Amino acid sequence: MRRLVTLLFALLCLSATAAMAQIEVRAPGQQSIAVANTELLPLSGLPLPAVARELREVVSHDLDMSGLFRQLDPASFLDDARRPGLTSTQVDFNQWSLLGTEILIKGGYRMQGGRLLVEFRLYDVVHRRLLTGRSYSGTQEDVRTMAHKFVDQILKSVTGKEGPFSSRIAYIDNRTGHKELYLMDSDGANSLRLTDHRSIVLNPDFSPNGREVTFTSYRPGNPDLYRKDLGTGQEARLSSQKGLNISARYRPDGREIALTQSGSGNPELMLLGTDGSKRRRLTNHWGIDVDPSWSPAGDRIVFVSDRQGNPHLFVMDLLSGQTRRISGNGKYYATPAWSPEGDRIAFTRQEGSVFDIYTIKPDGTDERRLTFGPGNKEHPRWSPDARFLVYSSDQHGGRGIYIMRADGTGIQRISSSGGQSQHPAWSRQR
Amino acid sequence: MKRGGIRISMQVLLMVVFAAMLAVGCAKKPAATTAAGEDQAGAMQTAQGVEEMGAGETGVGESMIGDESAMSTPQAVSSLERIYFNYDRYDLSPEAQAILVNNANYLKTNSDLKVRIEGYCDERGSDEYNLALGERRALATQKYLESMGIAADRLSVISYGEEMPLDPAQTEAAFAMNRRAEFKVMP
Amino acid sequence: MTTPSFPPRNEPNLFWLLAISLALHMLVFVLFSGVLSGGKQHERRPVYYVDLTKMPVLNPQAGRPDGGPAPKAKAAAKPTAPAQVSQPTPQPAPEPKPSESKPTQVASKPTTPQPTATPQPTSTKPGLKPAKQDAKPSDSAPSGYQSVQEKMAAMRQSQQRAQELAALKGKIAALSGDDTSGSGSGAPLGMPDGTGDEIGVDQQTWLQAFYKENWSLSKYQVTRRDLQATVQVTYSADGTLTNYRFIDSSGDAAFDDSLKKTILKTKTLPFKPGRTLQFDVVFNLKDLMD
Repeated sequence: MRRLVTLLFALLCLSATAAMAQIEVRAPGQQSIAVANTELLPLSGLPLPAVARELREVVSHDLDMSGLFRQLDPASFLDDARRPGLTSTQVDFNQWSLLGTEILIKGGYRMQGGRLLVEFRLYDVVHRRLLTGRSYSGTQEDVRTMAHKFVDQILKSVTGKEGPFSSRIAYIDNRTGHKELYLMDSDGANSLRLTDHRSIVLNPDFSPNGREVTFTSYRPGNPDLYRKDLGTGQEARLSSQKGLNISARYRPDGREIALTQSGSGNPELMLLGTDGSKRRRLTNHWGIDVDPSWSPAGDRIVFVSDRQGNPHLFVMDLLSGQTRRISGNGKYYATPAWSPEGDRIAFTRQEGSVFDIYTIKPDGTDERRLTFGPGNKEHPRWSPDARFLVYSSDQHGGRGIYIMRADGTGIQRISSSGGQSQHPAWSRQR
Repeated sequence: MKRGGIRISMQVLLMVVFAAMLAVGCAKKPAATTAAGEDQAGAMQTAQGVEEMGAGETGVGESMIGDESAMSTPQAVSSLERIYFNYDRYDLSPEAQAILVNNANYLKTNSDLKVRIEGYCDERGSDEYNLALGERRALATQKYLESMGIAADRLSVISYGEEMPLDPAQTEAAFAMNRRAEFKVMP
Repeated sequence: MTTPSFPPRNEPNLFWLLAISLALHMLVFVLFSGVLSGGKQHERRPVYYVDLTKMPVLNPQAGRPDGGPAPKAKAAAKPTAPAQVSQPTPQPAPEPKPSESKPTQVASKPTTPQPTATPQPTSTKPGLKPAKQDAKPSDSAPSGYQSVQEKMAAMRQSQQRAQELAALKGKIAALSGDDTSGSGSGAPLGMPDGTGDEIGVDQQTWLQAFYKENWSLSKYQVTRRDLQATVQVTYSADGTLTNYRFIDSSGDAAFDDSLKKTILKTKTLPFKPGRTLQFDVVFNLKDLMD
């Protein structure tokens, strides 16, 4: 009897191991990438600690904002962190894998003829290989841009899609006493005033090539549409119909502009050429039609209309002219923005007395609320890679520009205090 | 209004009642505040007339004539009283209509005046939608004045949406103050 | 068990043994293939916390893979490293108050287990040669390493807390294993279907936790949640990866690449299986939180 039982046990065990043919792992145990962000070192000449620190800080900020990484404590770095390590043979990967590092940022800098040369390297510690390397040259003013550009490349290495950090954000600010157009980096640094209309400037939009910005200005005594060339600074008035010339949005191919004009006596969506010439009328309805936003393919437009009573979101197919409401049972929807990926539309919706940001699929399903808490969050716009949303909020008193990840995490104010900032628009990559 | 189908929720009802009360109040009290507070003390004399006019409402004619002498000064614009609207609406309340009757009479007696009607909103709602709404308020006002016999070429409109609130506070009272149409004399 | 239906009158002959073996194999096959439950059976397997510092056993006793650790210690450990317990099973274990002796042990321990535990923490494995594991403490380390030794210790405390914790847990598990199971410390360490007499989990459960621990992928790296890939891995008897291949790839570069890294990190098992191991690992995102 005993022997039989032991035999059975043995058999059972054998069977069990045979059945171990498959192991299912249903989620990664580590849901962020361990990155070592070392400080860049002087390749020749004197060390520039301020430059090195700023490069590291900007990289660190962008890495955090992406949500992809957990940054290892520099205090734990071993002596390899003190070698520039510009080739994979120079890097002691053992040290880094000992710390649990998965990817490693190294590099160096030097001054050459008054210009700053910066070399960045990104290594895969597990595979012990170089993932990407970039060198940048510029003045010391360009340090932040260099760091942003490299993090854009890091994201590309890790996800296949470039990051948005070197792109810029246009917005409206009233710190001069008038609402004027401003431009700043994606982290709020290097803010710069672009207009001097001393009137009211509103609602900017970047051309897809990033070289021009359109906006509405009251300077002529009527809300007219302007275009500004960011390179030359030249301004041109594109549309000066009697009444409104507002909420202009470039078609993603850059060839046309959709906007709201009320020259006909009623606010309607119109299509203009980029020279301001009238192409065609998109809506013809007694209701208010405003805030168009293009699908990435440029074949559909989402907009706000009160044709069914309250302001709701509608999607219009430009070919067929068919228009369909996509918003649900809320009472006030506003400022839709179609994701550059095409899969979702961000918008604001009023619940109680407060506007919050939501996203929805273009077919009107799967509505998700992204922001909560007090204060109005308005005018969401997507980053060019669709990873982030920029918006304005008065949640901390005084309206400022904020960014967050597309899932509503990582909320961060980027505009400085001192003025009321609103109407952000995110440029394409530069 | 066109939109008869608007759901009369308790909230809307309350809002209407509240706004109506405010508008009634505006017909009297704000005349003093706007005239004295906003359009500066220099207009005091004119303002007196306005105050009477606002309070009396039926005794318009006399007040107007009494004001004739002060007419040449630019502050005379304060004789054109602003009107107020309900939330997300651009139809004219009875109070607003009464004020517009006064304003129309004023424009008739000052037949050389050209006036720009400016539509405004409270800060709630999207900026662009409010620009459109402000324009509707201005247009509704313009239409009413035209129906009172004011020539169309004397009236122009512009919308400032929520851009220039009278009272930047975030209170119901401030919101009600900001939902308005104003009249500016054009050169 | 079918034993009662087999009155052992005499020594079982070979035929019967084979028959039993066959029957059991069939039974196990049927059970595991999910024929009975229409394939849905796999959808919700409980996920246990598995202490990777405790090597798997061949004959696990009846119990739970997350059983064993002293009650108070567990409660204290959770808040510091919630990531460790990735999928807390709805475990009743209110774990009352079996004296303060355990917690004080735990509190006093961190310094002591540290040196002894370091050679063995699971996450050091990836990059290290197997030789290093048993040699490290006493090994004549290069002078460069010597100088950074304290630094590393400091680093471990501040940053690699997970490791430290794993070591701690190992110690605690060992402690509770010494005075055996029961006595209010939740379930004993073992397998729910365990019938053996060894304290520990079976290889499959252990390896599942091992792969999960070494799989690193951010939800921001993938745009879809329906990705799945299957990798066949082969380990030699001494626990060295001899071969791996993708039986099924997900088609998503970032996802597949993360799996390659996982396999690379796990190319040496911390125990010797004693025979060649070959199995498929299915990676998917069914339990990924949004």
